[in-house]
Amino acid sequence: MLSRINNYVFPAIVALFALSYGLQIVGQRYSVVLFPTAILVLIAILLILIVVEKKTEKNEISFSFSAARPALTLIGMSLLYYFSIISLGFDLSNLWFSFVGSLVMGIRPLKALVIAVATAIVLYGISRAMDFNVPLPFWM
Amino acid sequence: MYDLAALSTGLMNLFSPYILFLFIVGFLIGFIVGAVPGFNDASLLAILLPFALFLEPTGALVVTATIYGAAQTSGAIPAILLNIPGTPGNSATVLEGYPMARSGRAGYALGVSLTASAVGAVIGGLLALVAAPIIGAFALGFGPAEMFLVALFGLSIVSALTGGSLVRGLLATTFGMLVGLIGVDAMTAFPRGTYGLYVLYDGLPLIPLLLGLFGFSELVFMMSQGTIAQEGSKNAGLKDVMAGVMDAFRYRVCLIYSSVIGSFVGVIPGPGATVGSFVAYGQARQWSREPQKFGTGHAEGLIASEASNNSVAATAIVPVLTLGLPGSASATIILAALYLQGVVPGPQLFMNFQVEAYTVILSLILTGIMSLVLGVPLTCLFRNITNVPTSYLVPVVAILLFTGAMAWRFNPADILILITFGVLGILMKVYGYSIPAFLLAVILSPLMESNFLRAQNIGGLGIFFESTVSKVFVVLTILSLASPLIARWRGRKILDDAGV
Repeated sequence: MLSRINNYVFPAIVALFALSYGLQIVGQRYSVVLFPTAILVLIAILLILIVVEKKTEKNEISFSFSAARPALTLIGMSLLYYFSIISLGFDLSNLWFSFVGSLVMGIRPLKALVIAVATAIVLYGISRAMDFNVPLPFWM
Repeated sequence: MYDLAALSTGLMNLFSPYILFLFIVGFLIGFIVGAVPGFNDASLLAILLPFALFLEPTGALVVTATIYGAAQTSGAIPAILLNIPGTPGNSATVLEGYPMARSGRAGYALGVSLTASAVGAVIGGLLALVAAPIIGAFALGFGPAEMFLVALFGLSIVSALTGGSLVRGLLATTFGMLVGLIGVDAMTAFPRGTYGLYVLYDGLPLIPLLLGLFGFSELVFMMSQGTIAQEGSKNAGLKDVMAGVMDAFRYRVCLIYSSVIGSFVGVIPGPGATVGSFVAYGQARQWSREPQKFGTGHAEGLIASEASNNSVAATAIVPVLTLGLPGSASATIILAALYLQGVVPGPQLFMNFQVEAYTVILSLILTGIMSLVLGVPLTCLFRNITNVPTSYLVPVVAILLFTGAMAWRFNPADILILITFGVLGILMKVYGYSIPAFLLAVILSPLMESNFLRAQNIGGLGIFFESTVSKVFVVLTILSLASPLIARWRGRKILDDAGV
């Protein structure tokens, strides 16, 4: 049952996006809706074909939390980076994000600190050399 | 047709101190990172693209193309030492390279692969110089209808050849087309698919999108692999490598025909380096005097694979530069680089940006030459890079990924876009939906829509079947979509005939 649900994860995302996109353009001018409508019709046909295809196809993909752990870790790390950019600014967030990232990957704290400082120095150099308009933290 | 002034300006551009410096930096990055197993060339290009875009257009394109070419060459190092192809194009290399390394001839195999890569890149690059102006001149006569149909053909071929199945490839393509239409409509300024978010009014930013699709998902798979360190790098001293470099020239016929086969496969949008190297490998086996030695560590097989994948890399740039049709994931990212530098992909690209196009092709030829000049010492120096543990690699790549997403326009919202498309990329990889087809559709759909509406205003729907070029592309689109079905039908027929 779970593997069958798994088969429909991606098509379900496509269907939801297509539906919401379609609802946003209902009743608009011909030039606005013509091309997207053609794509929406194609998507609808393909989704039907996928549902039909799946009835005869054996799919062994199944979801497990242990397999999803790297993805969840990386999502957590990127959210961490997002909030650290807002609160710490660009340079500091790179330093401590690299440190946390190394710890998460099982590197010992001292080595993690060395990697973090090295990464931050390199990125600082790149950002200055390329004249980045580096954002400051909210409190500055 | 052949603009020698543009060609010589391209050559002078390439040898200007600044561009030459960028070329060497690009070569070193591509060569070193290409040797890291499990980190393919498309992901590498995607992660480094935001930094390259801070350079002026020619510099950015040269760096991108050089990284692409150099990664193809050094991808043979893990293929030979660890039995893991550095890039998908090195898949056939493991068939001969790894048995050679296991029998104590790792250095020799690395040397042979360097010569083959160099010859492949040079021959492929020269053929690209010949082919690009011809296709470019032909494409000059294209109107909106033809431009729409060329893009449609490109999407059809990528979705038919790169997905798990035709239906899945097409779903990824159509989904990408819809995602590409997010933003304000060009004709009436009506916001479509923006969900009221101002950050989406200009459309989805391409950099965080492709970093998520290629980089984020690649990183997740790298994290799940654990430590990569394995055996390898024995018997790979300078003397052994040089012996292989020199000995490869004994197989000059194989070097030339494998490069030519690769060049022809490269010009066709779709098949890419993997198909090219297997076709050349198969051909080398057929034409070899010692076919029974294939699979046990035969230099001819290794030469065929490496010469072919490097010539594919050189000529795969031709459909990108002349028609705006990328034939592989890496070529799609090079197309994205062009797009982000303000170059509109499409049939007029080559004629409008001839100097830049020539510079890119010439940089690929120079990459081939550098594979021998710099490749030999680099191979000896960095052969241990194949043993870098993932735990060290992941934090560094992750920080590059997120900084890259931020660096483009310093909008924290881009991090959230990266996560969204990263998750989407993981799902697409797990369930067998084509990521290159999705990305290409995102890039091409706004252009397709504007050309479609323009063509329709000029001559109604009939205009799409009027000119000979239009008819040819309609037929080619139908054929490319039908090809997986025909292949499946033929496979079933063969099984039925055999009584299976």
